[in-house]
Amino acid sequence: MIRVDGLAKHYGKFEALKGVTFTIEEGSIFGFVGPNGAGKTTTMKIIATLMTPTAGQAFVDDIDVIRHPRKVRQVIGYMPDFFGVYDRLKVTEYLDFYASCYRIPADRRRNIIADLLELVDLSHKADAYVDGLSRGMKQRLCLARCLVHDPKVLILDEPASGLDPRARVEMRELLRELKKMGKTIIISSHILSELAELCTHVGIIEAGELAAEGTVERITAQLSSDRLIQVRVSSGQETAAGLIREQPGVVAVTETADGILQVSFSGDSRGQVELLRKLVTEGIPVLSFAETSNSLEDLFMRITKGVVQ
Amino acid sequence: MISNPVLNKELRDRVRTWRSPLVITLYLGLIAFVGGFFIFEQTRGGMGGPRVYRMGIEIFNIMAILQIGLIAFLTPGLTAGVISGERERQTLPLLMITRMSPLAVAAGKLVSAISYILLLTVISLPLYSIVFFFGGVSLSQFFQVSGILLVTTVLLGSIGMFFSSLFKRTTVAIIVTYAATFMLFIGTIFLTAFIMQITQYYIGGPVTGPPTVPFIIYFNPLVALGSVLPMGGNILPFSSSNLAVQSLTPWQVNLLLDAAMILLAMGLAVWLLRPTRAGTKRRG
Repeated sequence: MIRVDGLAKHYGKFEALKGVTFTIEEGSIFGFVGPNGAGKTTTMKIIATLMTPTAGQAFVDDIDVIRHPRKVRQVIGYMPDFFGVYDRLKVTEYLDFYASCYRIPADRRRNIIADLLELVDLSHKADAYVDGLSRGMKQRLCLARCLVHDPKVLILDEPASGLDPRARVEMRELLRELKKMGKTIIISSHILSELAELCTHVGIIEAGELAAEGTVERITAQLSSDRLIQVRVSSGQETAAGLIREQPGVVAVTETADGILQVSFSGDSRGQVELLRKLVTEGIPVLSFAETSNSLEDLFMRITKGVVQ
Repeated sequence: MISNPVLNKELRDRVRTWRSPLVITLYLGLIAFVGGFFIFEQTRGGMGGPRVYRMGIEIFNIMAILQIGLIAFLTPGLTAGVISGERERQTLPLLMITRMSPLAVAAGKLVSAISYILLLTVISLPLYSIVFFFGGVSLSQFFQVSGILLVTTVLLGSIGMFFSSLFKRTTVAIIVTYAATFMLFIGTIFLTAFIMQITQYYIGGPVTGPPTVPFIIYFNPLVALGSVLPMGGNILPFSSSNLAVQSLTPWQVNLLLDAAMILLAMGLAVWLLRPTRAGTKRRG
């Protein structure tokens, strides 16, 4: 449904995107994760036809976003990370305005708006002025606005930012509902836990480059084939790190804190036992030696710190 | 055009503010006060004969000049914030990714501003009727003056739209639009006088008559207005017999210049409104 190929964007000498490539299948929820300034918004704006790339291509529903932006706009709903509303319009008038901008006939708009307000749970605010809505309600209204023309694809840039915990849960439920409706969703966040349980696919971006991409299971499995072992030593951290690096099956060693080593290990359980034995026989004062869980959050931290490259 | 959603929204938006009735009241109040004061002053010594005929013309002239002054004062304020305001509120990208073309957005915004000025003009019509009570002004002259006021409104509105699309901040757009309006109405007069002084001084030679008024004065809407006001209402300090173009009347030349400026300003505004520019603020 969405195909991005070698996307690059330069602002003068600064390279915001350095050849990003990924594909999103129809009906999937693609979580776009990365620290602030990684290039998430730039990528999403290019897909949303609001920015032209310096190089590369992007397709939505097989339509080239650079060559046929108007056709693309028909199939996408875009929610930016920061957006404003028209203060002097009521909720229904606000949606009616955007529906008319999408050339939806007046006789159909009434029903569409009623359905959308019900979907985003704002029916009771239909006659309220937009300005008087809470932040969470405005976010939900903006999501309803994205849906007025029934787009196949939703591009949501940090839809839960600035929301309180309850509003975040409500937003998550809403996205689940949209997934059930068969929408393809690309959603960005710099907080991975927000997306972990919602997404079918994940793309991790850092400094304008895609560090990892694929289904949540595949990325987890791919990286989980490397066990993550946390080793704590009371002294001689550098000696220990050096020794561990020389052992078979050790992919990488990171010194995360004072006396703590994160070991990425590709060997099996027997190899793990051997590793511990070696450390003890070499006189390394091991305080603890334990395999830690490879949560999506851990993977994200490892990937974006350049451990897995 | 009425099916333009931006126009519909803008019209609704405009009448929902407290400013709208206030501006209407002040506008009518000012025209009524000036017109009434003039009638009061002129009729103190009694009325009758040709004086009444002249009075109708004079009131008409004063009201027309007052109205073009009010248009020059109001139009930049009505238009210079319409695009930059959307940008500041962060609503422009949302609008530009709909099926609305930049031209439809710009046209909707411009027509809404012009409609508001038209509303002011229409509700001031009863005040104009006083002129016809005195006589001396033909209906065609009234329509000619109205036409020039309308074209001037569209011109100032287009200039406001251009600067509103060009600058990100409304304050800057408004200041620059008022500066451009000032240049058009006052700057051109000073520039004309300056050029005439320079040519007279440097070119010198035997004086065969008054020097030609430079072309730049045709940009001034007051030249067009002056040339259609009854009884040769020459409102500028230059003789119309020495204007650069003699084959066309001043209002015709001004109209052609206005048309070119409107097309240029609106063309640039539409170009600046393209969606890829609406979302160029870098983030993330």
